Amino acid sequence: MTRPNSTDVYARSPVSKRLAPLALIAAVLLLWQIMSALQVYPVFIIPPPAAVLQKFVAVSLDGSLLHHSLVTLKAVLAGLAGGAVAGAALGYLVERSALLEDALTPFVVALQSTPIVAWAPLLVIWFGSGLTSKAITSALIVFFPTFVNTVVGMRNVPASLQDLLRVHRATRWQVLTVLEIPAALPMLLGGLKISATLAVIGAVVGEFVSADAGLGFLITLARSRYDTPLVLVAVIALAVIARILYGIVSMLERRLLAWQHSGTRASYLQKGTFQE
Amino acid sequence: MKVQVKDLQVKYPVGSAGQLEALGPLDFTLAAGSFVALLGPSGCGKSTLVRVLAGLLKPTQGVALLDGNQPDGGGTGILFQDANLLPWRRVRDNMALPLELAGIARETRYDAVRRLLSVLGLEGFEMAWPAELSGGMAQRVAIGRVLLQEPDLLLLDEPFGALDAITREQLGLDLLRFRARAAQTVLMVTHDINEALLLADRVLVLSLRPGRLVADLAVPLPRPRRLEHTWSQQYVNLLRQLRAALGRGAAEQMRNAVQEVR
Ligand SMILES: Nc1ncnc2c1ncn2[C@@H]1O[C@H](COP(=O)(O)OP(=O)(O)O)[C@@H](O)[C@H]1O
Ligand SMILES: [Mg+2]
Repeated sequence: MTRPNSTDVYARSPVSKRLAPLALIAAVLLLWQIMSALQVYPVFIIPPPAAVLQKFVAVSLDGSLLHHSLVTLKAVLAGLAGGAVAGAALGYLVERSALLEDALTPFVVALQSTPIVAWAPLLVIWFGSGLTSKAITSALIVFFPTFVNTVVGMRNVPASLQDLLRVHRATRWQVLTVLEIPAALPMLLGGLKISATLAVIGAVVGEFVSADAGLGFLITLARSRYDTPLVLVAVIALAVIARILYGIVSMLERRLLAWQHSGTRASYLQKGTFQE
Repeated sequence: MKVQVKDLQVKYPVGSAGQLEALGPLDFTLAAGSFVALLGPSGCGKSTLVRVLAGLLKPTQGVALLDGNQPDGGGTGILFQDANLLPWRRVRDNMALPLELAGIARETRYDAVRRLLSVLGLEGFEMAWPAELSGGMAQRVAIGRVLLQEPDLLLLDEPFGALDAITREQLGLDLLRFRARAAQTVLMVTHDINEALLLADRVLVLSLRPGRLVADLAVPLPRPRRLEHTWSQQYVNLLRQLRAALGRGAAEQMRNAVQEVR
């Protein structure tokens, strides 16, 4: 099996990979600056980049950006952890037991077919406008991709390897840790990657409904005051949070799935001594 | 380990009510410490028999007994056509799997692996991923795994079937060399007559599906086995007998089928 690797002559240069997005950002900033300078739209619709930067500095210095970011981050992490653990655990159980599959599947499908956003007001009524309701909204969105990917991942466990462990009389726990979790891990991490960004959406939706802190709350507040630069600062902060979470899961993926990204056989033969 | 197969029959359910007679009825006994080859056309139920002996499949009728007990995987090692390595484990952790499952400490496991690597021709590949190995090397890792397990019964289901002829002969002879203890009983499924004669003390021949015993042949070639043995007159005679048995099996099967139709 050959995979493209870093020595691939056709691989794009890492320099262009880094520079291209930066060039695009610069171009967008320039266009933005020109549009606001020409006053194509009123300032409260398209504020100049400098105003946004100024706002960013201001809310950074008075600590409010960090405060609201941390509130949202807490809800995101709680939702991500809760939703992912529940999704993986329930996915595993459904795959192990036909009875549970029959019992749970209709509800999971029903839950998924309802827009989670519609649940948010109800969750606020039940759990108040604090952290809990946001974390649960977030967990509900996170649950489904983790659940589905766990079920699919478990179905990917090769029957021949199951036989192997049976012949070795492996215990149920050994089968889980030696075979099932590693075999399902690529799908599981794939699900977690999607979930990481969805978790942010869930928390913000919760904050839109009712909150007294958080980036979603900040956006609602700023919008009501026509403070468009602050809206933009909060939106960018959310994007950064989502991107960092995605990056962390990607890093986890690279480390845990190193066996999938190993070099080609030929590259190893040069290091080894085996002759055939 | 002594293997007794009595009136053994396996039928697979097919469709809503149908049944597929895959194997038997079959009767034979393997003496402890013997190396027996099982020969038969493809689809005659050889793998089915292996699965029964490994405790992976319950027979429809009759019994298989290992030292008098029902098979449950205990004391049984199995080598398939595919090396069946866990792709997310390095070579050393794949080889050490039986020891790990038995709860043996990490350092002891790795020492055992290290002692085997050079014998298996896998020096320097301790830390390689399975994806980095050739088919022959992967199968050597699987052999190492089964050697570390030290089973009393070793089941080989066409273990070299996917390899080229030369690698295959070499691995077969190596396997004989590595065979840990004399008391180990080996049942090797193959559809290669030469492989059967080269390695085994005894060859059982099955008919077409459902596999029944059509020949039971002792192989009195001297040990240790060498490739030169395959050029002797004695070997050629054995080869002729086996071919005839395989032909008889096929012919008998055809007669039965014709009678069933009538
Ligand atoms: N799980 C199964 N369900 C139904 N039929 C099967 C199953 N496994 C094997 N068979 C059938 O049983 C027969 C014997 O199979 P197998 O033991 O694999 O033969 P061999 O290993 O000798 O080639 C074949 O006709 C095969 O199609
Ligand atoms: Mg087979």
